[in-house]
Amino acid sequence: MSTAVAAPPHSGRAGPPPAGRGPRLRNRVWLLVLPALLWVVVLHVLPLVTMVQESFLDDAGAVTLGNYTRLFENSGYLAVMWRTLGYAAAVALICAVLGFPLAYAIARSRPRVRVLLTIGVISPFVISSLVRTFSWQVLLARNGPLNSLLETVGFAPVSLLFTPAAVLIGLVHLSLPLMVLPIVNTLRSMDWAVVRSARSMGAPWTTIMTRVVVPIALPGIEVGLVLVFVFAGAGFVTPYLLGGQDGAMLGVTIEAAVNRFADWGFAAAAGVVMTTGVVVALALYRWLMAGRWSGWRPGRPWTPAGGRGGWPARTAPGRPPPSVAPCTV
Amino acid sequence: MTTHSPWDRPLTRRSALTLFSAAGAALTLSACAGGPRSTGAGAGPAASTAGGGEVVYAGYGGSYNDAVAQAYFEPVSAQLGVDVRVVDGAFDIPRIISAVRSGTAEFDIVDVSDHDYGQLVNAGVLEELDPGVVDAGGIADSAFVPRDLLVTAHGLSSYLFSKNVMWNTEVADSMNSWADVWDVQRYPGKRGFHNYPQMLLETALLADGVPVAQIYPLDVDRAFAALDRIKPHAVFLGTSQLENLVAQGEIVAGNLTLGRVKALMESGLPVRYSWNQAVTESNRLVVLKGARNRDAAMAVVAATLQPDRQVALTELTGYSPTLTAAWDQLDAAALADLSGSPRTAGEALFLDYQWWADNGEATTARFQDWLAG
Repeated sequence: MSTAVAAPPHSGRAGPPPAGRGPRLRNRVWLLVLPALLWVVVLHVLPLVTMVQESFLDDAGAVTLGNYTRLFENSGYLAVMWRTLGYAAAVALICAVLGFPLAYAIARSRPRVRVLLTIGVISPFVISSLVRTFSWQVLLARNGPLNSLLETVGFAPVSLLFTPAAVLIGLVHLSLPLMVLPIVNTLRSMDWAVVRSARSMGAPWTTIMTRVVVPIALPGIEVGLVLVFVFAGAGFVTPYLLGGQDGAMLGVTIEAAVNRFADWGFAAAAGVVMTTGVVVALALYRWLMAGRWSGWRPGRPWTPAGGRGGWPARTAPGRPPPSVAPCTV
Repeated sequence: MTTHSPWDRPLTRRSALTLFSAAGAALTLSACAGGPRSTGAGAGPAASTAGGGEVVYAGYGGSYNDAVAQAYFEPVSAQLGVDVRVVDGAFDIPRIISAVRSGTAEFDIVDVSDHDYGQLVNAGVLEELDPGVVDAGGIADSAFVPRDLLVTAHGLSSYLFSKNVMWNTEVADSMNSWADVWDVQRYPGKRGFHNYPQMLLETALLADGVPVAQIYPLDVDRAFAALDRIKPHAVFLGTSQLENLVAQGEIVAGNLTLGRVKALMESGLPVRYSWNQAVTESNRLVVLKGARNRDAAMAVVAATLQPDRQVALTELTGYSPTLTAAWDQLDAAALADLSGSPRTAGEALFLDYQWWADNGEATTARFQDWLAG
């Protein structure tokens, strides 16, 4: 999976074309896109096409719908697919709730502290996700530190490992930086004079947060939500090591199909379904959310801009169009 | 003593890392430096028939590869004048099959367990062993394994090993059967099993009360019904994962490979195993179709089948030999704790790779679906 993050809304405005360069040069500007285009086609589009092809083939190479019917006729696979989308959404929301205060603290702190905090957020990426997930396995184990803590306080040990909660904890831990960093970006580029003026008008901090800071940070939050949703939905190590039977996600199914059962057509079909599911979920999110944030006030129900949902109604006066990251899965 | 058993299934840390870093080619590209390289000096009479050159061997990785290099390939290289290169890490059965079919196999010899052997036979990717080169004469009926299962067209068993009833002594003083492992009322706690169907369906049938002699042909429906009962209390994972979780006390009973159980016991953990209903299989050195050095590979396979070399491997790994002459070299103390010896055979089961070769594909697909459900 690779993800292209859109530039922050205020950066990268193109100036007028330099004087004295004729239209000839401008006509060849597309040449500059060529390397990137090649990259995307060779490394993303072609494998995707192959995967779609493979998903319609059986072992002997004949065209079949069997991989898909197998996926959709088995209640187990259906449950795994819904669970995958559900966990991805839940992880995105939990990350938003946990990540916003952290991002706010980073954005508002003095430069030296900010560097330290940012390093703190990024540094887990230095350690492989596998090692971090292993650590959770140790922490959550029946004889692990969490359970001994519970026992010393007087509770009976509980099963933490191989539960949905364990998967969510692991995925949130892995995904949090993807939520924090985009929010820090938006908060750092916002005009804090509006906060000062809100304060000078006597607004309490809750009002400043809900009506000024959060709405301005929304583009960053949305980028974070999309990134975390896509990342968590593709999770494989975490559900494998922490989920057991109850927390299995589609990534585990796909990995097993490829590495253990040599069932590539089925793995491809599951991959196509997962990609489609993520894209549909994101489209649905955009459609449902279109314009609703901008008209939102605490205590007032959301109203779709212009009274209807839809794609174009996103821009609200006074706010630049939010930049949701386009994602290639 | 080994802590890494050869049958570490494909889903290991390595394959997980491979998946994540998308460095799929790493396995085959990483040439190993650890393999014994003969200088060619001291080549015996067999050297001329082998023709020299290099043979590439793939095993299940880890310290097992080191043990095989030491016990087998150092003396074999010296004898034949053939370099045996031991590939780093473990192999994946699916990759081997597709590599042989596309004519790009990187290995000549693969050290495969019976539960995978059936799949390779079925896929038609193995050379038949040349009886003129590879002599199976030294292998007789073992305590409970008919010779027919040890001596087969594409591979001869080079050693035996088992998955025994295993438990944590904090939940049970003693477990003596798979039915005990299935009894979650009496012995509460998480169960752990490997994540492939071979041997697991047999285990489930034993738990359900099927006598060893009537296990094959497998009653697949009955096996899955028995698995259904244990599923809410169980996890199905790769060997390394199971070992970690047994060590942490998370898994209190199940079917971890015996070598791992012994390693855990040696490190002082409260686990024990029983010999009753041990589910046993063997490993075979097989030659891939399209092997670049086919003749030398056959010669190497033949040369590993010598009592001294088998005993050396047994001493390094704790796995049982298959040659009668090798059994004869072991003392009573060793026999008392080796899979497939007359002392431990009791009610042990031996995996019928042929059943899995014939029915493996459908059964595996069903297991795959069952695991998701």
